[in-house]
Amino acid sequence: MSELLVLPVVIPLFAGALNALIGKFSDRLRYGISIGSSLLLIGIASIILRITFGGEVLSYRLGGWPPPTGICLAVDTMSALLLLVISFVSLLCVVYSISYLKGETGVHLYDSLFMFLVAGMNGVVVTGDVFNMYVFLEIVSICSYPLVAFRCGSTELRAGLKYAFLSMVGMSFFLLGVGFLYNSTGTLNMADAGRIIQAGTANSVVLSYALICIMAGLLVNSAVAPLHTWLPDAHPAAPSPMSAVLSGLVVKVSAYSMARIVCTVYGLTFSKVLGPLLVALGLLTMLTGAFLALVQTDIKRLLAYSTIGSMGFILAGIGSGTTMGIQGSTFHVINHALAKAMLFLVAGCLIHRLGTRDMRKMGGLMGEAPIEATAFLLGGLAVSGVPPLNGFWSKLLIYIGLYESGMYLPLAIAIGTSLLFLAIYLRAFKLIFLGRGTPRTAGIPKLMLAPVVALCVLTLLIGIFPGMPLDFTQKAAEQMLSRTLYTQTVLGVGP
Amino acid sequence: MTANYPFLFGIIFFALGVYGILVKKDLFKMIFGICLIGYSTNIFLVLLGFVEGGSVPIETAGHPIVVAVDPLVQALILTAIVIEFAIVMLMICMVIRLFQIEKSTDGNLVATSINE
Repeated sequence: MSELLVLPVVIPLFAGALNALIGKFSDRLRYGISIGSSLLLIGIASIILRITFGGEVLSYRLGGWPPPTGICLAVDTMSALLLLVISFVSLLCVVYSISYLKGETGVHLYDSLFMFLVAGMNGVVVTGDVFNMYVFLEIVSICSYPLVAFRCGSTELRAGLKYAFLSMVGMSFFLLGVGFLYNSTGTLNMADAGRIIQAGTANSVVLSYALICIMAGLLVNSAVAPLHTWLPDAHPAAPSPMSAVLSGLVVKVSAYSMARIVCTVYGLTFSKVLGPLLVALGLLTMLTGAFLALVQTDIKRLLAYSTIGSMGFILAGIGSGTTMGIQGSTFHVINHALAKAMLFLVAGCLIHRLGTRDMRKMGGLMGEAPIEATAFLLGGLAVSGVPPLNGFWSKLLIYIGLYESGMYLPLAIAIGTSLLFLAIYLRAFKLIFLGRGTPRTAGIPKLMLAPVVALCVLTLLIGIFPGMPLDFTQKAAEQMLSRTLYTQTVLGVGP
Repeated sequence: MTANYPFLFGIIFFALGVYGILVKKDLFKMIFGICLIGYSTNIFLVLLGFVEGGSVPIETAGHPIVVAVDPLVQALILTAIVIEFAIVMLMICMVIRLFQIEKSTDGNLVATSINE
């Protein structure tokens, strides 16, 4: 079954190439390729999740070369969950972009880059090799820059360039860190490096340098304060379905890499300051995101700052170092991906209706756009963690994680920030949907509303019946922390 | 001690790159800064794999290798160079498009907060 692991990377790569080559001639063919491959990816991800949830770690050796010499792909429950979320959200965004981008030029290139982006994200998630992770992260970046600058206006190009400058410096640091890691452990395989670091034979000073450099790179890419400055410009500049993917998935993939490096390679016991440092960065990030989101008038900028805030929660959960905290972070990655994708798609609908992103010029849309209003309210409440929506459960787990590790002040700050988020979204809801406004809009294509409704239903369903996702995420957190199974499977040593 | 001198080149390149990004007010010069940071990383990686008196790690008939430098880091930077090349090309294209719109390559176009 482990041959399946190649498919999440190969299928979207082929789909992207086909879109670029023949997608120009027929729109229907291109949609067929994109949607078909996304559906296929959902199926594969479900199968992989089913296998890994049964307590197995899948590992595939590329070219048959045994690790640590060869590159290997390795998937545990955490990776499988992310694969599923990536495929699902990207499918909805593909469907959404059919109507949203109608009439724009170069749509076949957009679809092509989109599929390459999915391939890159899947690659980061399935790989078991640090340098391979760097390559896939760069694939994600190099697809994201032109997609941010897709409309080729001054604002978009400037935002894309800003993203490119900061991310490029960050990735140079990541590469340097990979070099240090190789220098001290003599391997690039994550499981093998983890084994060597656990054994304590590697030079711990060089290892610390490696960790600092790798984290510096990933902190830029996951928009952790004070390295977040690119995100509020880059995410709003992209077309709305792309903003949904950037905010919902791309930053999450960087956060996943961080969790993988911290938990599987180094282990949270590597250094006493590692956990508290992550929590401190998380708090700084959530406060920055929340306070800046509070004063925004541009709807997409508000959502972008809210993404920064949520990354803070995810980081704090990882930093707490408990099973509950990491489970909470994993769950929050999923919940936030769904809710924030929904919010950005709603923002896209509103922009489609009104042609403006300024919330002060909206108002009174409740009667005209009831579906968008419901979705926006649900998404906002889910991101702020109000029961019975999905975000409540993940935030609760992060709070419990912080409580268990004795970090009471961070816990108080995190709860306070959640309340701030509630204020942010209620203010935005009031500005956009309540009050008196003049009816002035045309309808919305059904293909744009369908993904919003699907995400809406899912947000509610996970919130009301959290049992199954909780089981999945608990398994993911346990496997992430124990890491023996992962190491044994990848290196091929018996238990 | 002398074995550490080459690392100095990497550090100098890196410092020049940071200088280029932070001080220069032209987007092209900032991109050169990015390039220099990338090159410094590559130099650093190659030097990490250097072995005193090591030869090229290719074995030919009649010339067995006694001590060879680490070939893996060289493979790594080969990949990294290709990626950097692609990204720098993309950035230059974006700057050219920006120049066509704004008639300027001022670094402040990118460095400031971008509002509608």
